[in-house]
Amino acid sequence: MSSRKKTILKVIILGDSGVGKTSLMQQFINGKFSNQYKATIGADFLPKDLAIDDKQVTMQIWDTAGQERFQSLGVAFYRGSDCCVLVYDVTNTKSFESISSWKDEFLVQANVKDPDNFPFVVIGNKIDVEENKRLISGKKAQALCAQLGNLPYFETSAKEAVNVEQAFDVVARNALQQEESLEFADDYTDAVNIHVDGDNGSCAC
Amino acid sequence: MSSILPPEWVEMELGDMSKSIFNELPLSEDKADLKKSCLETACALQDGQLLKLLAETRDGLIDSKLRSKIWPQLLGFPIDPQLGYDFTSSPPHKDEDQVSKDIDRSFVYYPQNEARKQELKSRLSDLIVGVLRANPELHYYQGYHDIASIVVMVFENDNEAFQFLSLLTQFHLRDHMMSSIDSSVQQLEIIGDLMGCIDPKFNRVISSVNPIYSLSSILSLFAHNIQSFEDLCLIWDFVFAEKTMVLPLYIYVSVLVYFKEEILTKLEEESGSSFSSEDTYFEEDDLPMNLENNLDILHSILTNVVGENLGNEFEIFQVLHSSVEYLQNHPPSQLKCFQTRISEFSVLKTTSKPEGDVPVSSYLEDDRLSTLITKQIDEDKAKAEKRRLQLIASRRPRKTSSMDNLRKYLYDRVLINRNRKLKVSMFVKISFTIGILSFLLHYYTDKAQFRSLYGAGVNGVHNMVIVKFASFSNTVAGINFGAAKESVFGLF
Repeated sequence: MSSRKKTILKVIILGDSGVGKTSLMQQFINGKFSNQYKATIGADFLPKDLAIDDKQVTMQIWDTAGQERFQSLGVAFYRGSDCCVLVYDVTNTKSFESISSWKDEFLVQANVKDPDNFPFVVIGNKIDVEENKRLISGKKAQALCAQLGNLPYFETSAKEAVNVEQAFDVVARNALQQEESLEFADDYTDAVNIHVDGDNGSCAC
Repeated sequence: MSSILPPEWVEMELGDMSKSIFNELPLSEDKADLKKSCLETACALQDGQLLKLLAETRDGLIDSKLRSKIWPQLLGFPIDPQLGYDFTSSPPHKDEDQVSKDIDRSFVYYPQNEARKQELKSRLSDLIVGVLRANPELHYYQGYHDIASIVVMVFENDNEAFQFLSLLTQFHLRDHMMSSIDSSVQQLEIIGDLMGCIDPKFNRVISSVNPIYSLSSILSLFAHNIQSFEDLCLIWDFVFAEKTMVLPLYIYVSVLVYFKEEILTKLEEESGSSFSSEDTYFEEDDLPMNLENNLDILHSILTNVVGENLGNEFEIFQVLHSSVEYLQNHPPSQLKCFQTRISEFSVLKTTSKPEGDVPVSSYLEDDRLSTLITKQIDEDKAKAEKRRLQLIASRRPRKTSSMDNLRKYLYDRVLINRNRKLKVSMFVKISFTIGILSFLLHYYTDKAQFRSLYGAGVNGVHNMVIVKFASFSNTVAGINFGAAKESVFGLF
């Protein structure tokens, strides 16, 4: 079934308001940056076709609102996602501290089957700022990512297109792996069901 | 009323006039001037009915200067340009950080002039912070800044802008400013219910996704989505003339109906499935075929339908007029979700309700408005607490589903059976061993008895004991066997 249909990789970008979620998405998809992105309200996605090791996929990148009151709407959007990108702003301590709660909230609302193995990628954005404005060091961020389960970590500048491609390459690969493992897991679950049913049947005779 | 109309319009009935202005595309310059003077006179005479009529016809209220006078009149807001406001002495509102982030990202589409943009941003900040500090119990939301940026552009006088936005907030927007987004989301349910009345078949497609696709349009009164300032003002002219925040929801439905073909075509293009033919989405039950895998695409199309399609004045007027028509033919009071899902303190049922004209002044007297707002906030707090408790309950270690329970039950059962089978077989083994031993004993005693009849009787007493033991053993074995058999069958 999956071979007939094009593989769609659903990716959700989360993070506090103003960390640069829309800019990252626009930079990755259109290779452009603007100082003039409106605040995102609700959620919407942009598609991008790409090849991962000769496999054609469509990435569906969901940009979301950062204000806390919109968080509860995730239930409607997160379902079926293959990877979640957690973004913070390296000049904003609060946005860094929120990473872990965005992760937890995502897992609850997306109703992920295997939370321990769901792929997340952490991005520290706005590294184009002057060094003295930067409040979160790479080391500190690495430590957090290790603590959250060895999450891949990238430092990017959506403004100057630094590391954006590389980050989303990992996002795409991990999303594809997740998508394929889900297909496998579905088969596996079916097999287990049959087994259990069979057991039950033999007892009933 | 007719005395203030220009001579050439005097002969027409009011209904004809709306048609005449409506049909002209675009409104010529001299007609626009004529309309302006007519608006000014109606404004001076405070002729609400005529103002409403003029607001809902071609070019609406024409320009910002007129709008800054007439919008408050349409809504019945008392505005005093001399009455200043000072927010600097009030404590900061909790959401001011968010406000400043959103102000950085305001005035994206207009105006073009950078200096004017900066000036507007500075005024916008004072305006939003001023209103929030004056209403500390209300929560700021993203999208409110889009509304406020239009207010700041239309009202050159800061005092007027402040009073207008304050009253607009309290009377018409406060549902969106409760502690959670729920009261906004509940309003959106009206879209599906209304579509069900207007186009039930199309509604089956639309209703397969959550109506939050319309959230940004409704929260911002379309300011977030419409890229032309003039177009947006035309919509606001209509909304304020109808004096109800239920109209934006009706407008959204009207947009969906108007662009139905575009929506279905795009859905087909992007999903590669067919939706427009009779046999796919016109069937009676179940979700339309193929739609289930394309809900994300449908959401995206519906959320962009306003920004991408609603582009020219003719279409805007078509859409707005049919939305007003829907409001007359299918008032919200007839919609199920309106009765069941919308709070009795909601703006849609009180200060911004479509039917029944409760004057603003009566709300402003005797703290009636502030009492209403307090009640709504109390209700919201109670709901928030309930939600919090539910959330805590739902996030405890995940409860197993009935399927999981069944599986666990079966698994346990198999384990128990295995254990029981093991015990039973031991039991049976022992029983059989005893049985065989008894049989041997019996055979031996038979032999012994035979021998004792003809041979020495020394062992006679001994043999008798053995015979008795053997028959006892046989009995025991029999009972054991019966019990074993019973327990084996008893399992099932």
